Amino acid sequence: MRLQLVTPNRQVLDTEIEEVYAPGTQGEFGVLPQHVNFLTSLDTGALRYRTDGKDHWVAVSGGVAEVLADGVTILADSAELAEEIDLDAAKASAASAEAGLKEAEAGTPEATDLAAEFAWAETRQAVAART
Amino acid sequence: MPSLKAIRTRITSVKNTQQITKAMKMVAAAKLRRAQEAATQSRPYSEKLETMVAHQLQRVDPSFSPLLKVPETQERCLVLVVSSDRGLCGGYNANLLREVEQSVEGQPGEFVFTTVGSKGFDHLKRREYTMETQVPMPTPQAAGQVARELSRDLQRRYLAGEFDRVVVAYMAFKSTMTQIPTLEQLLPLQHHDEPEGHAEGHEYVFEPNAVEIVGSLLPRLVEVRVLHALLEAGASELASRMTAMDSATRNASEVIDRLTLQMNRARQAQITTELMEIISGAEALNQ
Repeated sequence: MRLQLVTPNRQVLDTEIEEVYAPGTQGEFGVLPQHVNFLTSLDTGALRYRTDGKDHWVAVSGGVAEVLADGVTILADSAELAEEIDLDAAKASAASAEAGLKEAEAGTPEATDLAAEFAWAETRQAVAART
Repeated sequence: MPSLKAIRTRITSVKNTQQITKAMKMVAAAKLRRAQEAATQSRPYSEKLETMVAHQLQRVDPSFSPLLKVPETQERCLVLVVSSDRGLCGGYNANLLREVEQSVEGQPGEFVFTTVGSKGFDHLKRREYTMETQVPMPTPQAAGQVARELSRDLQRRYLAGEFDRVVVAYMAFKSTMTQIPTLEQLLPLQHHDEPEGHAEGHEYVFEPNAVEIVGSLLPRLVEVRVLHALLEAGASELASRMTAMDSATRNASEVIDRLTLQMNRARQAQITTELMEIISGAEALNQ
C-alpha cells in the first residue's frame, strides 16, 4: 500500500506502508490494505504509519484524505515529520497563542485562528515527543 | 574625434555598468533556482487536488456549489494581473500587459483590474483602466499566505455577486528562455477535463458527506490555482531578468571593445602628431 502525503509547499512522504492511522474530522480512522474507497476531511492531529514493522509519526493539520485500492493520498494544509519538528519553536508558538487567546474575544476570527495555532503547536509537541 | 581622456572615462563608466548587470544576472540566477524549486514542489499537491476534484465532480451534482455555477450575465469581470514590482527584467511586464489588453479590448462588459506587483498597476492605470488594489509580489516563501488571502477575498466578492467572472493573468514559466503570457479563468470554477479515472465505477464512503467534502475542496482548488500563478510568475520574472541582464552584460562587452579600439587609434594619432612635431622641430634647427 502506498502512502502519499503532500502539502501545498512540498511532497512530505511517498512511501510503501503496511498501515496508517490518521485524524479525521469525524474521529481517528485506520487504513489497512483492502480498505474500501473512502474520502474524508482531516483535523489537526497526529498521523501514524507503519513501515517495515516500525511506527513513524507525523503532525498533520487540515485537508483531505482519499483511500483508493492502491493506497492513501493525503492532501494536508500543513505537515511535519516527527524528526523535523522544532520543539522549542512549537513550545514558543503554543505559549504565544495561549496568551493571545486569553486576550482575544471568543468567537472572533482572530480567536479561531489562535485556537487553531494553539492546537497545531500542541500537536507538534506531542508528535515530537514520540521520537 | 573625442579626446583620449574622454574615451577612457567612458570605458570606465561602461565597465561599472557591466559589473552591475553581471551582479544582477548572478543574483537572478541564484533566486531563479529557488523559485523554480518552489514551483516544482507545489506541483504534486495541485495535480492530486485537480484529479481528486475531477473524480468527485463526476459523482456529485455540480449545482450544489455556487463556485461552479455559471452566472447568467457576463457584465463585470475582475482580472488579477500578476506582474512584478521591479523593472530591469526585459519584456516581462510589457509582454504580459499587451496580452491582457488585447484580450480585454473590444470585449463587452466591464473590466476591473487588481494587480500583484506595482508595474502592472502603474501601466494599466496610465491607460485609464478601472483599477482596484495592488499587493506586492511575494517571495516563494510568502506566496502561500498571499495566495490564501487573495483567493479568499476573490471568492467572497464573487459569491457576493460583485463579479460575474474572475480571471488571472500571469507569465507561465516554460523554460529560462521562454515565458508565455497566460489568462486563466478562476471563477466560476472550471475543472480540467480529466483523464480516464481509475476510480471509475467504484463506490466511495464519505465522512462527513460528499457535498461537504467536495465543497471544502473547491475553495482549496481556487487557492492552489492562485498559488500556482504566483509561483510561475515569480520564476518567469527572474528568468526574464536573468536573460535581460545577460544580454546587457554582453552588449557592454561589445561597447568596451569598440571604445578600446577608438582609444588605441586616438593614442596612435597623438603619438604620430608628437613625432611629427619633434621631427619638424629638429629639421628646422638643422637648416
